[in-house]
Amino acid sequence: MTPAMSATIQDLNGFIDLIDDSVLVSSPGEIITGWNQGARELYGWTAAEAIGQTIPDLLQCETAQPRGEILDIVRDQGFWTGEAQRRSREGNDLLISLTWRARRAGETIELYETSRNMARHKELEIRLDRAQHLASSLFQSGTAAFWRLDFTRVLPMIHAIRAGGVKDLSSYLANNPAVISEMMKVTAVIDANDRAVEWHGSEKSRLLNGQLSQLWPQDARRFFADCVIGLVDGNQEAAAEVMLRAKDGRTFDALFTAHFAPHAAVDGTLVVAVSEITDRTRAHQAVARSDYRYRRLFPALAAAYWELDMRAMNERLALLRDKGVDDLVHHAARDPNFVEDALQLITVSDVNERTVDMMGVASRKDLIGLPVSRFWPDKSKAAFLGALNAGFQGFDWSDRETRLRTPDGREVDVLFSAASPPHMREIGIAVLSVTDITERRQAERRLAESEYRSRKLFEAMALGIWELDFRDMKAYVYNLVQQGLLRDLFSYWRDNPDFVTTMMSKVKVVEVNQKTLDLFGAESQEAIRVDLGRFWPPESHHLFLKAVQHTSVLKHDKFEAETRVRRLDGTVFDALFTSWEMPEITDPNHVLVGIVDISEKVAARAELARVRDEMAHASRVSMLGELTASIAHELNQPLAAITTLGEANRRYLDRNGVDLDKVRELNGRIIADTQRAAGIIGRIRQMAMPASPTHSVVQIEEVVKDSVTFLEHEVLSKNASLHMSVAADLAPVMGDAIQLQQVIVNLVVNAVQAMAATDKPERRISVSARPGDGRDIEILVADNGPGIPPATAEHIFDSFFTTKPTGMGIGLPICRTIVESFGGTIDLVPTEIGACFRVRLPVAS
Amino acid sequence: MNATIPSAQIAVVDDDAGFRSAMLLLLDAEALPAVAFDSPVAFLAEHETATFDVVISDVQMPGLSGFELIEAIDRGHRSVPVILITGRLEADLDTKAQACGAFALLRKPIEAASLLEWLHKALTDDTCNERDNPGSERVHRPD
Repeated sequence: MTPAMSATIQDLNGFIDLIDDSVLVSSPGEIITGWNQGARELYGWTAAEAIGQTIPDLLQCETAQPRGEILDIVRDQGFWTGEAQRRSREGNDLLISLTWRARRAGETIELYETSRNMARHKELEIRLDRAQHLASSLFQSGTAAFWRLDFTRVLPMIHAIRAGGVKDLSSYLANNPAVISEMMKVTAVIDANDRAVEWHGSEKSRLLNGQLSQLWPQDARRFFADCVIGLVDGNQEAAAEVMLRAKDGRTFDALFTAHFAPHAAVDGTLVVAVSEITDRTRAHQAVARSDYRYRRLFPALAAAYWELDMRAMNERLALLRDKGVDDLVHHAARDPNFVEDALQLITVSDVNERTVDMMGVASRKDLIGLPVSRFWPDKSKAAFLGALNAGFQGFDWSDRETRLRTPDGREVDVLFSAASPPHMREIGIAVLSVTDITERRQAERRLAESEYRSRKLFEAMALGIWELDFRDMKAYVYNLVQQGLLRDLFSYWRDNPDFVTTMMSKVKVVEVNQKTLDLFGAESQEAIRVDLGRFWPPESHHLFLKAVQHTSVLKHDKFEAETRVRRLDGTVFDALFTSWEMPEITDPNHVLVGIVDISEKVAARAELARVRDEMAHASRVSMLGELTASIAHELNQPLAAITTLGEANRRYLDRNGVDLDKVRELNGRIIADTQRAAGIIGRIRQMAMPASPTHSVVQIEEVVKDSVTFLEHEVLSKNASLHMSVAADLAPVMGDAIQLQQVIVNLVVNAVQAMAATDKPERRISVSARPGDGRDIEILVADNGPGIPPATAEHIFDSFFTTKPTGMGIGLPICRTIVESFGGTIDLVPTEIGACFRVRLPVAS
Repeated sequence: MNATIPSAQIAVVDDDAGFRSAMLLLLDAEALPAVAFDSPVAFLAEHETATFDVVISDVQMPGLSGFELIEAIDRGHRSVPVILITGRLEADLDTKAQACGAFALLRKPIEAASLLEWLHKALTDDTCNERDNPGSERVHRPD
C-alpha cells in the first residue's frame, strides 16, 4: 500500500465517523476497509477489530437475495437497498435495513454501506402504536364523558362577527343566544365515548348524527360559547359547572372542561370532557384515589405521573399571599431559602409505574413520602419555581422542559406538566406528568452537533466550495443558439477560440467558503469576485466547457474530473473539480463547484509512474544482460562480413589494373553491412535507453516483428524456432512501442529459457496477434516447453518471485505493470502443452 | 599467396547472406573458384554429385549445424575437409569441433590471411582425404 493510499483510508475513517448512521466501507470482496462510530454502536465491534474482516464472517450476514445478485445490482445500478439479518458482537440477532452504494476509487470499486437497526425502528413504532392505543382507551375508559366536536364551520361565523366590528365576543354571545344556537347547528359530533352515550341516554349513532343544539344541555350553552372563544383566542382551557339530569332521572353536577391544543384552531376539533362532580364523587373524581379505573389507568399511562402532597406548601403560600406576595419569582429573589424550603415542603404522595422505571427504583414505595428536593438538581430550580409560581398566580397548569435527578444520580431531560386545578388545589394535590425527553434531547443535541459539524465541514474540509451564477453566461449561450450560430459547444469553440473566455467572463462568483479563499490565495470574498478566467489556465478550458455541458446542458447530477486551476498569484495546481446544480436549495441558475487540492496526490502518482518506468527500464537492461551472447553474435555477423569485404577489396586494389567496378561493388556491400550493424545497435539502444513511455497509436504488427527480429539470434542459439502470425488489418492500440516490445521479448525470452532446460528435440515458440472478444486485441506467446505448474502459476506475476537461479523476478510483474498502464491485461492461458501467455490491449479509439 | 593454393572447388555454407557473399568476393579476389550454399541441406544435395575439395561452413544455422554437417558428410563417405567459422564465443566450441573432425575452427570476423593459410593446408594435406580416423587430431588452431 502506498503512503498516499493509506492516508486516504484514514481520512475516510475519520470522515465517516461524522455520520450518525452505521457506515462501513468494503471492497467488492466485502473486506471491510472503513468502519465508523455508528457501526461500532450498532454491531459492537471496534474499527480496529472490523477492518480487514469480511462482512459475512464478522456479521453473519443473511440476506433474502443471494449476495452475488445484490453485488450485480450494485454494480449495474450503483446502489441497493434492502434488509439483512446480522449478528452483533454480543451475539444478538439484529434486523438491519441497509443501503449499498458503489463508488469508484481509482481502479477499484468500493462499497459504501449505511445501515440502521430496524428492530429499534420497529420498537419506536410499537411504542407509538401503544401510546395511540392508550389515548383511545383513555378516551373510552375515563370516568368522564368525552365529546369530540368539529368546529370548522363555526370558525367562519366568528370571523364574520369580528369583521362586523364586534370586539368583546364573550358579551356579544351572552347577549345573542340565537347566534350560539346557530353555531351549535353547524357543530358536528365526531366522536363520543360510552359514558357520554350513557349519560345522554340514547344511541351513539344518534349522538354522532344529531345536531348539537338538540343534544347539548341548555345550561351548558354558555360553556359552548366559551369553547368557541377559547378556540379562536387560543386560551388554554375552558371550564364550567353545569347541572345535568341522568337518564334515570337523578341530577348531578358536571364539570365541563375543554383543553385547547396549540393548533386546535387550525384543526377545528375539540375534545370536551364532562365529569361528574357531585359532592359524593367530587373528591373521588378529583383525586381519583380509590377509583379502580384510575388505579388501572394511572400506572399504565405512557407518561410518568407524580401525585404531590401540596398541603404544607399551600399553607406556606397562603401565608405569603396574606403578606401581599403576588409573585413567587420576585419573592424568591428576596428570600434565598424559599425554593429550597418549597422543595422540602412538597412530598411525593403517589407515582405510577412509568415513574418507577424512569427514576430507576425498585418500587413506588422508594419514592412515596420523599420531598421533591431529592429530584430537583440546582440547575432545574428555576423551572420548579416557574411552575410553582404559575399555580400560585391561578394558572391551573403549566409545562416546562428541565432536568430531573434520579435517586441513582443520573439526570434525565424531561417535559413536565404541573396541574393543580381548583378542585385539586382544595384538597392539596398537584399532579405532575413527566415525559422523559432524554432521547429527544440527545437527538436534538446530535442534530445540532451534526449541523455544527457540517458547518465545520463546509468551512474546514479540504474542499473549496464555490457558488457560481451562470445566468448571464447561459443567456449569452442561448442567444448564440437562437441566432443559429451555435449548434455544438465544442465545434463553436473550435471556430471561435475566445468562446470559453467570454463564457467565463459572464459567470459571477456568488460566494465561496474559507477554504476556497485559502486555496486560491484570496484575502476576502471581494478579492475572489474577479473574472473566472483568472482561475482557469488555457489548458483547462476544455474541461470547463465539458463541465458546463454536463451540468447545465445535459443536466447530469454531477460532473467530476481532474484538472489544473490557477491561484490569484498565477501559480497553477492540480485539482479535483466537481460541479453540480441544486435547484431545490439554490437559485436554478446557480451552480456549485467543489475544488480539492490534489497536487500531492498527483505528485505521488507521478512519482509512482516514475518508479514504474525506472523498474521497466531496469527490467529491460537486465533482459539485455541475459541476451548479451546472442546480441554479440548478431552484431558479429555484419562485422565479419565487413572485415572479409575489406580484405577482398584490398586484394583487388593490390592488383595491377584495378577493377574499379569490383571495388565499387565491394564498397557498396561494406556500407550495407555497416548499416545492418548500426541497425542492431539502434535496436539495443532503444531497449537500453531510459526513455519515458509515450501513449501513442501503435501497430501491433510492427511491435511483434521488431520483437521477433530482436530475438532471432537468441532463439536460434538455443536451438529453438520462433514463429510469428499476425492477423491482417489488426486495429492499432494505444501504448508505447518499446515497452510493448519489452513485454513480448520478455515472454519469448522466458519461453526460450524454460525450453533450454529440457531436452525436447523440437523447441517451438509462437507469437501471434489477433482481434479479441470485444474491443481489444490479443497477443499470444506460446511454447511447447515444460509448462508452468499450477502452484507456480499463482505467483508468476508477484514481484521477486522467480524460478530461475539468476533471475531478478521482476520481468513478469513489470510486464503486467506495463500492460495495465495501457489499460490491458496479461494472464496465463491454460494449455495442454507448454505455456501460453495472453496479453490483451484495448483498441485505440 | 594465391599462387601457393592449388586450383580447387570450394564450397561456402552460411545462412547469413551478407557474410556468404563477402566470402565469395574474397575467394574471387584470390582467384579461387567457389560455390555458395545458404544451408547444409542445400550443400549436401549438391555434394551427392559434385566434388568439392574443401568446405567453409558456418557453425550455427537453422536446421543442421556445422557439426551436424560434418557428421552427414562422414556418413556419406565422401570425405572433404571442413573449415568451420563461427561468430559465437563459447569456449566449448573448440572441443566440439575437434570431436567431430573439423579441419579447423575460425572465429568471426576472420582474418583473410589466416583463412587462406588453412585453405592451403586443407588442399595440400593428404590426410584430409582420409576420414578413417575421425577421432585423431584434426583441428588445427591458428597460432
